[in-house]
Amino acid sequence: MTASATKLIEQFVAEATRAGSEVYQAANHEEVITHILDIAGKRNMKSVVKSKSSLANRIGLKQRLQNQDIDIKETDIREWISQSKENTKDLSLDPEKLVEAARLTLRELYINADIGISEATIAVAETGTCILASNEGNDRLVSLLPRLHITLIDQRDICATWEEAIMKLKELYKDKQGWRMPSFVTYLTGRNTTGDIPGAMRARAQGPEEEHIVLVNMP
Amino acid sequence: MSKEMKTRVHNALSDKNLQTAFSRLRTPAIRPYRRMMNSQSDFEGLRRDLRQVKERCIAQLPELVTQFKTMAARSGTIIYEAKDANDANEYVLAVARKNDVKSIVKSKSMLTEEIGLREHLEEGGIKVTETDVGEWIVQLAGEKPSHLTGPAIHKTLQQIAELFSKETGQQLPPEPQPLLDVARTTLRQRYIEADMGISGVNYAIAETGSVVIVTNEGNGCMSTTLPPVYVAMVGYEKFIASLEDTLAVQRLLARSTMGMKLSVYNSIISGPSRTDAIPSEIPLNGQGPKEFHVVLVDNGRMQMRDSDIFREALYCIKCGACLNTCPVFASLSGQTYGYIYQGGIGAILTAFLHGMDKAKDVADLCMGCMSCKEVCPVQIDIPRMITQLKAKIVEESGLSWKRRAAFGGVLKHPRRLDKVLRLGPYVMKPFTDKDSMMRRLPRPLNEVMQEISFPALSRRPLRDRLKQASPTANNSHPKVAIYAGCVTDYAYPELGENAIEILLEYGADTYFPGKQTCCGAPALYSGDTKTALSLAKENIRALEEHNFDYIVTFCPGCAAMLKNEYLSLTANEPEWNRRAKVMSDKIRDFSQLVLELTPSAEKKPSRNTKVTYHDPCHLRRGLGIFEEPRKLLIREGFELVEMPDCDVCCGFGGEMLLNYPELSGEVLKHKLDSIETSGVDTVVTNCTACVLQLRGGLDKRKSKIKVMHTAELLAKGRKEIVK
Repeated sequence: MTASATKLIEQFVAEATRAGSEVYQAANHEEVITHILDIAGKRNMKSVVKSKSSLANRIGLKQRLQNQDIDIKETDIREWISQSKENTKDLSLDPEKLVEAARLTLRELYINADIGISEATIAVAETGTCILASNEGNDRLVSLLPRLHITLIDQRDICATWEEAIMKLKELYKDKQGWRMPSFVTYLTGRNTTGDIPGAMRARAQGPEEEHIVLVNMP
Repeated sequence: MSKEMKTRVHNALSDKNLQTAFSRLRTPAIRPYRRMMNSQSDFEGLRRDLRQVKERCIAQLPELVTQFKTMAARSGTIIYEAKDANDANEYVLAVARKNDVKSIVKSKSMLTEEIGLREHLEEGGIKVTETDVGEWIVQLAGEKPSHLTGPAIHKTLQQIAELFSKETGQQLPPEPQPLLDVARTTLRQRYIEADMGISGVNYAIAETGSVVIVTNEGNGCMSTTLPPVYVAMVGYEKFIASLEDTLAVQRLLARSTMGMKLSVYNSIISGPSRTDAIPSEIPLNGQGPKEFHVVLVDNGRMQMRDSDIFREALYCIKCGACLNTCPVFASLSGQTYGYIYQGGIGAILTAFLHGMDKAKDVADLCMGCMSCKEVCPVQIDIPRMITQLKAKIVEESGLSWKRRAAFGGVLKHPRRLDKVLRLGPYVMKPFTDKDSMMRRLPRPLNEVMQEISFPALSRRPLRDRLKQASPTANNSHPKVAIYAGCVTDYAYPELGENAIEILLEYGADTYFPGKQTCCGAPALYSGDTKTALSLAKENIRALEEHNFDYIVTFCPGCAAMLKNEYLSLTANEPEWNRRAKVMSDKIRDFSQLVLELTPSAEKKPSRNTKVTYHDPCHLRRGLGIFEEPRKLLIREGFELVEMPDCDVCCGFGGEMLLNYPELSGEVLKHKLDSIETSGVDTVVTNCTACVLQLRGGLDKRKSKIKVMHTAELLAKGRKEIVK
């Protein structure tokens, strides 16, 4: 890794930590998996919900968690449908009804899950922020409703500044006809908190108890 | 000022729970963030950037709205341009009915408070739950928010525990985390049951067709993602052009609100939720709202945009930094203001969004200390707009008869004013104690006496003690005109003599132009610009004779009038304006002048005396002078001990002492506590009004601490050395 890349990561880790996240730098795939297993194990957590993550797929996260008796469910609708072909057998093939059924079932999953895992598209070192994006909205629900949230991010997707982050957003979501922003883009910085209750400046508010970030070193 | 307001002010000041809870705004937790903001070198640069972005976007508003609508059409967002407040409310109700909505979850929105949306929906039989914990607390209490960003900051833990216990049927302890846990579980249930979500927005981005909701709690995301229908309420001032523009806001919003770099959740919503999981002819809903409505609301905003004077109030990003530094706000809390928008910016917004008549009471609560202007991330000149607003109100509805009599009948006429002030000591004799202080006065001044002891006016004002000879033409000494101001002239003439002694010693020739009169500040800050302008001309005439090198002042309130306000008052009369500018360049504060006259003077030996310095508002923030008085004190051999909050207003606040003596006293109390914290026995300042206020307050406390103007301190020091 270059010196500037190292500095960038250091800045990201410092800012994210200051904002309330716990950041783990995984040197390789194996460390990602053992760290997540470690988080779950220490807290006796057994259920995970997950939004789309190519990183997770590449390292085979799902299988490894299942091997340790951790229940892990995908939450985007396409996956849900293929996951639960059994459940949907009796439902009409009307797409709208199918989606509604998915939505209601998945909601229960999020609320009862111990851990939510999402992948961030971009991270910003300037403020220690992870940017999540989707049209369905499931990555957002995965990040808010379970007891603990983990964001996976490829080290190479860390930008130094917000100006760079916006350029990256343009690359991803702007075409010749103009912007096509996903319906839901979330900048997540630190852990949810509130100042509304006296004496509780950094108390947990309406989201997860803990925010974890795992920086993945992909070759 | 109305009876209702007087009562509300009194109630707020007597409310022990409120005062305890609001002491959080004064505590060390808040001050360091304020200093951090001001001291970081990039703050000024960031403010300039944000100001430029806001100016450009408000100027381009119609184009931005068109662009936003085009983007919305592509994504399936439904836009509704409301004709007025009621139309906006009716639209939302109609959407609710169409979707058979029984319950709504709502994320924070000042706009919805302003137009009364929640009440409208509740009257329609729909249950609405506020989801920002602070907003939920005030909803349960049946109250209005007490602060822009911390709506329940006036509630104690005990009160919150009681509210939550009642709502949930549980016995809850007054402890932070357990209460938050209950809020989370209860609100979560509401999100899940809700048929619709409503939010305000922090900004709307034209080029991407997005709305942005900023929260720390996460409720902004949950209330806009979980329900099947989502309505965003957008005031026209929220539009910005591009994602790049958002950075200007982003870099200051959280910092100004609470000293954080960035809020935890920035939720950017650009369309209804979609999925492509199943092939379908029509776009399929995803896991979020299948319908996304954006309601655009004017309600007076475009009228503000048309006003050259008041347009900048639209640039406000609703961070609340101004409220956090306002000494009046810290004493009263937001509910006392009576309307949705609070503090100084509240007066302007209330005038345009609720009505000019309603704004008067709010504007009268401003002490003119200008601390808001110092911290505003968009460089909004709130104090200037309040002065203009008062003038506008007077233009439209006239002055009260009392003020007409006082200003038009007396103040405007130098000889009459002089006569009235000379009568003072005789009329007040029965109430004057041996030490020339008045400690009891008949109604209605008795209320003032409860807060401070007042100095009796002098039988020999300064103007009687000085020769008014003209300066000799060929003279190498700098010619310094004395502009005494009413307080020095008629209440503290010895102070004026002290100052002249020092200036003479430092090589100046001093003169008292006899035709000088009241600077006009009382009239200007009540909105009587006619009287203020008339007095401006009297003083310009009096001070431009003899071509002085400098004009020295002992009251920065007067100095600010002479140096800055006279230029604005004469803006439409070029010749007077030119003369005002010539005079303006000569205006000096006493310490400033002494340093200027003696650039190479050496530091005097230590006097082994510790003093603390109080920054007068008009000197520090009105004229930018705060180093010179300190430099001079140190050079003169005094040891300077800084007190906490040295730059917070003393509470005199122009007319505040007379209009709301209790409030003036409350602000004063905190200043006196700060002085006592410093541990010294002399507090020095460069403003005679502050001297009056501080001396009067310390006298009431029977304190041994002495209050002196720098001129008095230096003169006293000389006498001691001579001895």
